[in-house]
Amino acid sequence: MITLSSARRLLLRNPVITREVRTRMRGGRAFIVLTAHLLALAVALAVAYLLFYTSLTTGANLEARRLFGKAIFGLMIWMELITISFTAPALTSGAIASERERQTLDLLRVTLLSPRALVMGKYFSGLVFIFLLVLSSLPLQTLSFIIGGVLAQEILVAILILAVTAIAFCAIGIFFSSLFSRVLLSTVLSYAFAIFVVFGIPMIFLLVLIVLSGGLGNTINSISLRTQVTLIFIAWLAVSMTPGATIIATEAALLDHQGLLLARLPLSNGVEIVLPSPWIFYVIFYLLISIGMLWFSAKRVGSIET
Amino acid sequence: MKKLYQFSPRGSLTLGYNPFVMEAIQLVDLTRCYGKRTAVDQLNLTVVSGEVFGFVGPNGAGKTTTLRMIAGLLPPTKGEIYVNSLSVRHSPLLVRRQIGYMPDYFGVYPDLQVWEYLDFFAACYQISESQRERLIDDLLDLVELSHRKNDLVDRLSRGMKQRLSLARALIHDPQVLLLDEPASGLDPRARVEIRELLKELAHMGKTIFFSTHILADVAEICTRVGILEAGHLVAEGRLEDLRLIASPRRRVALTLLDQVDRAEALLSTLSGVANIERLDGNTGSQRASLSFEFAGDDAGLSSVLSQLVQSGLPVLQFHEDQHDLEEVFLRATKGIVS
Repeated sequence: MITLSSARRLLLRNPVITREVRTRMRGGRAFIVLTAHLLALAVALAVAYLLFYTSLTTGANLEARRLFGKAIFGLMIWMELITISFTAPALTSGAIASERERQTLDLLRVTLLSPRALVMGKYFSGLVFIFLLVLSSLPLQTLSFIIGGVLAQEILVAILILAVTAIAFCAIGIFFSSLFSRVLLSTVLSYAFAIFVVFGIPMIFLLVLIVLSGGLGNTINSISLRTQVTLIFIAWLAVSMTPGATIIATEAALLDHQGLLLARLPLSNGVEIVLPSPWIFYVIFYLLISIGMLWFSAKRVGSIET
Repeated sequence: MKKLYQFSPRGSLTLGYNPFVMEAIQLVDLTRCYGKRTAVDQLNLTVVSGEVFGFVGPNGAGKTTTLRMIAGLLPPTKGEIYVNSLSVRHSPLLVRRQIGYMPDYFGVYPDLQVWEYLDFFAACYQISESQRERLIDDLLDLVELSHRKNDLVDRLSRGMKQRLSLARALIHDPQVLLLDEPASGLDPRARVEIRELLKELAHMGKTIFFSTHILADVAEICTRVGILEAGHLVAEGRLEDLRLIASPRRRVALTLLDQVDRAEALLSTLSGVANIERLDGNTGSQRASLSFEFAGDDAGLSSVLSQLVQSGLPVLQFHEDQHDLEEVFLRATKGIVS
């Protein structure tokens, strides 16, 4: 059980966080990553903005403005998601393995630093940098708020999905880093896992859906109700396990006025299946996975014999 | 319920460091196996508080494995380890406060400055921020690295890194120092510097347990020696005693200003002295050298010297042949390990 004082020791008084942040911000690497991230966002935003203004016939078309606001917001969130997916594993996948490669793990293990403090220190220092990337792009994000059309609910859900993605992908990096003694292997596997979550899961589920529905030639009415329910559940699961799909599905549900908490999925006979909104499953599932991975990593670090 | 601490068989009731506890390190039937290979086999050893104990042995004898087990980095397959009467197995955190461990490699954080490196490890030992600055200055002063305080660790020479490593091991003021080959790979000057540092630490009352295969270090600073061969402790004791066991007759070199004949005559009458040989002196110099074998202890050898001086002989040098030490080592180890 984590008490308040142990949480303070793990986060605020953790020497590993101080050292990691100090060394990460030293030199040009952090500056380059931050600049490249902001530059990519700014260029994408500028192109989208120019396209909007050249295509808009009248500035008074409020509906078009709202849609544009949403589009800008969605674009920014997608780009943030890509940045997180490709940066988070890199930030943590060398965490423990690099200590083994540099032969510093033993030096830490003879101190009073607990394996949990080491793992959490490495983990939070990676996470802090991700949040720095997201926070620094907030001024660009505000353009969509000025144009209008973005709901508070959309903003909250998007931020939550981004945060959970960062939390999970950083935890994946730590997990593989504690498992293998080579940074290269740990990095490759962390990226493989991240790519699997972002692209692999939807593709696998799509294939499963095609096979189960008996090929693309069938129409929804020709499939039995039981198969329809199975297919809908599989589709819901696939969407709920993939960050990009979760964002799109939640946005679609909001546009369809289905509300924020429930997803209503109709069958061919007009009956609706009601399931929790995909973002709820996504947040709970990946938070639990992250906690499990961090717990395992701390156990593993405590038992490593270098 | 999990036992928080366990005391050594002869230990007193203590949670922290107790200056009255005599055994700083106690190894009881310590065994470590890697698969079918036994690296350390039923090692029994006691290092008394304040001692400088040299752990000598060929490569692969099990020195590093033993040190890592004492440091709590490697669990023993069998046996117990006590540091200041605290069980390493049952009270690892209390033991970590008592020991400073320096491995035979230097763990580098290349992006850290020298003071940041020490500051980080001080924080890992939960030393308060207000104490750290002064502590780091004092330690850098001790290891003579104050002038490199703001340099990156990676830019230090190997000898400097080794001294910084020693400072790191001392950061929490441990009573027991475990040093694995502290002088290996260093140039002669850096080796002397490390040796002087160890002497200073011994004067400060630290118990030093160090492994080495540099026999000159052993002769210079150790109060006691243990020789390890294929995981077995083949010899243990004061260096002089080991010398006597390995070679009951030790060869002593004597240099005189002149009167070499009288010295030779006197030596031949003394008990324990045999095989007197004249050595070729420098041409053009009046100095003359003799060497002889002596069977006896240190007190007997000291008596030989005082009789030479009392009889008016102009003695310039009187010393044991250092090859004896290598002989002790070679005779104790049978070459099982290459």
